[in-house]
Amino acid sequence: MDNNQNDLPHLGLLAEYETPEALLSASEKVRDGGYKRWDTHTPFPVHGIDEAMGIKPTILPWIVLGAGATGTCTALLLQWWSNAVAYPFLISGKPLFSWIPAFPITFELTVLFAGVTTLFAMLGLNRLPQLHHPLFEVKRFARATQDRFFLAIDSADPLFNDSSARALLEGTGASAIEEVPNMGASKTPPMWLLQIAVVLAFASFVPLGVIYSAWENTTDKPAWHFVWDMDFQESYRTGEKVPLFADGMAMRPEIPGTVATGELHQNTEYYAGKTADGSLIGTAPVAVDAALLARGQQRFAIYCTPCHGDSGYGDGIVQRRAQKLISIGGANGWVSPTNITTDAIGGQTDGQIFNSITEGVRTMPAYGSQIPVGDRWAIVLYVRALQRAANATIDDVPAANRGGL
Amino acid sequence: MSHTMEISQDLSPEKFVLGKRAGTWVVKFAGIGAVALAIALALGFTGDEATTSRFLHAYLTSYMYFTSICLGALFFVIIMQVTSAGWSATTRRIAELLTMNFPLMGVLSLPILASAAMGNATLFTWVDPSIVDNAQPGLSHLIETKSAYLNSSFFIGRVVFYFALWIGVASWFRKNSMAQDISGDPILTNKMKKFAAPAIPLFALSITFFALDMLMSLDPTWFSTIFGVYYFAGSFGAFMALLGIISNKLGGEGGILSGKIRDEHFHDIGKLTFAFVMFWGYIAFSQYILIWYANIPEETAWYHERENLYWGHVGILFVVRFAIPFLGLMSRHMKRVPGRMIIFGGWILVTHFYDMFFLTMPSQIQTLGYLKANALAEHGEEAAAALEATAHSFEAMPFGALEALCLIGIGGLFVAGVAHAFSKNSILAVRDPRMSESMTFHNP
Repeated sequence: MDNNQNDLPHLGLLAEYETPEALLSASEKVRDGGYKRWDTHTPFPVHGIDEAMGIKPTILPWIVLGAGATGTCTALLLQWWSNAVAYPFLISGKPLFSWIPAFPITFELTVLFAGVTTLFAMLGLNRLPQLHHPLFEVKRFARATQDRFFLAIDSADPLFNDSSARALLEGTGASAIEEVPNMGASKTPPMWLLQIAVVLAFASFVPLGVIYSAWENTTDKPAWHFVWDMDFQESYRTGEKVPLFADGMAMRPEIPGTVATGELHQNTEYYAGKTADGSLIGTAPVAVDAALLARGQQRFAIYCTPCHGDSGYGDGIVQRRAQKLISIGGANGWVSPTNITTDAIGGQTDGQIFNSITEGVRTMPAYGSQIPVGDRWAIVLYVRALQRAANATIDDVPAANRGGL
Repeated sequence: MSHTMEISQDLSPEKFVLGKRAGTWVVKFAGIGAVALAIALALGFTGDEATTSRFLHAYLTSYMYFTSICLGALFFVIIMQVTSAGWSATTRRIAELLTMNFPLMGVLSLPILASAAMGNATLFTWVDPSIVDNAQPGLSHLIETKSAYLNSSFFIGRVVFYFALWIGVASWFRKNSMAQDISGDPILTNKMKKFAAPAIPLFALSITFFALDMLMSLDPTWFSTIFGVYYFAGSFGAFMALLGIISNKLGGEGGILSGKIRDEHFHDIGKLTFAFVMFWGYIAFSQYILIWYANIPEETAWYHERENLYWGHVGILFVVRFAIPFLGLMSRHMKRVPGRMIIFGGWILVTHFYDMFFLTMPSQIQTLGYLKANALAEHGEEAAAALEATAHSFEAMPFGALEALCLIGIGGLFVAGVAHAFSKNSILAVRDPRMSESMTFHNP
């Protein structure tokens, strides 16, 4: 039927009524006549028109309910996943995920999903937006926004028959009945609108393209700053002078009598290598196993080998470079690193070696702030292993492996 | 316009007086209520201190419950006048008649006022802050700093003032509305609308301070700035629920207001009930989340009593008072079908009582702690053990005989008061100028 719609004499019949009551009774007759594609147009909401037209209750509430429930689930999943799974971050001892603080976001997202869906589902169910409607071609129809009530039967209705529909409308007491003229091409939007739409559609890819190219390429130009006070905050840096405090320091000292979380080091043997009265302890206060020694070996390789060498003989790459410089008359005042496998160091207690690493010795700097306490004990144990290896005899090698030497 | 005249001609005030149908309820319920209340008073004031404390808390629970319904009714009257609401014209008189219970509620406040006047600190610790000295030395200082506001004479004066205000405002609206039944003068409607506007802040301030005085001051060291709104939200929701039930009964098939109160009214009452279920949930949750988040001891203590020391009150309350009626009342169908509102209205009235219970009763745990410490210090182990036993019986049975007797007692008198009002007066504002609008409007 749509194929030859342009050939139809008209697109339907429009009946005009003077009162809402007349429209209501006319609607009941058209409804009972079995028509499906027809509608009424009134300047204000007419109570009872839904029943008179036989309109079924809308499914919009169910769509909105579904969207609201989707919003609820989305918000809860998002908060649970981001706070408890993807980026767990403990804030003032609160649980990683809890229903209570999740509620406001959940509420907002539920309302947002439901609200936006209400608008677009309403538009969709009403087939809006429509740029034009054939009824606007009827001059009289302008009064639908003022003081007249209209009923229009679409000729596309399967029951539609020009004479019987006209007879039905005449029997309803319509003050006027008009044909809706068939303007043929009026169904398609004007060309200029299509052109603008095409241009906008292509233009919408420009920002995406810019983002993609920025992502894929490197640049030596400075970054764009869209939010200046986020990028350049008025905060102080470490060591900066500030007028806020009497001592003028930006870094605040610990408050006397308080201990920061994780900083309570009551076990001085472990944390300082000293007994409570301040004397250095004899044996490392840690359980020795292969994993700890392996850790010590690895940490020793990072922090100690540059000077002390792989085996602890004091022949690291820095020492070798210094010797080179000395041989050509440079590196004045160079103090050679200690050979830590000698009896002088081997005779020291674990506490002494630990203390040397922590506080430094002569030209050797202190490593206490760089190497965590557990790793320092691991290095002490590895130093012991190196000393043992340097003073080994053939008896230390298992009999089966002696042939390889 | 001819339409309007036809309708108002068959309306005469005499047709809508329930007379004997409600009159028989008056004697029945007044009798039951008076007997229950007498037993409760006798039990409460002859037992040990712990029993007196429990009685006073139980009494306050029921008292605040029924007062809240009167307050909700008063607010309904004011708000319908100030907004020139047409839809509610056929139901407004029911609210006006419910406010006739204000004098009754004023008289029923006597046991509470008496406990303050007699220096009995087992309900309000601020009456005699030294009650806390043995349990928490130093706490009394915190209470005494508030004594400029929290003292017995000012407290009694305030309560008397609230009731004078409410009785005055409610009877002024009722008188004008009833005068209109006879004269049909539309000027009266304009007059009521004009006075309704200043009545709103008066109502808001008085209900806020009433809630602070009667409920928040149970723990004088605790404070919540949202507390007055919390009580108001629950009160108006509970009144709307009750109005839904009464409307369904009177406006249903064969009811005296059948045809005057229609499914459109059920729908609108349902919408307001639903809105105030949400509003209550919103306010209650706002109060909870702020206290939960800040986690400051002096604020969390109040919820600690209600969430940890007792049952899992907070969670249960949110589900029964908010989540269930929220989902239940959401659909249009549920609000419009006669009878459904009776189920959900009943549910809300029960859970509103639970809310009052939740606000009041857990404070008794605190008081028992003070009493035990005092008994131990003054009378030795035996006296403390006796109080301990009373406390245990309370924990085992939080809603016991005293609570039931107070609920039946005050409830019986309340129902008798309502029945009395309905038996003597027209329950329809027959010549309200918006009567025809109310009888013909449609919800979109």
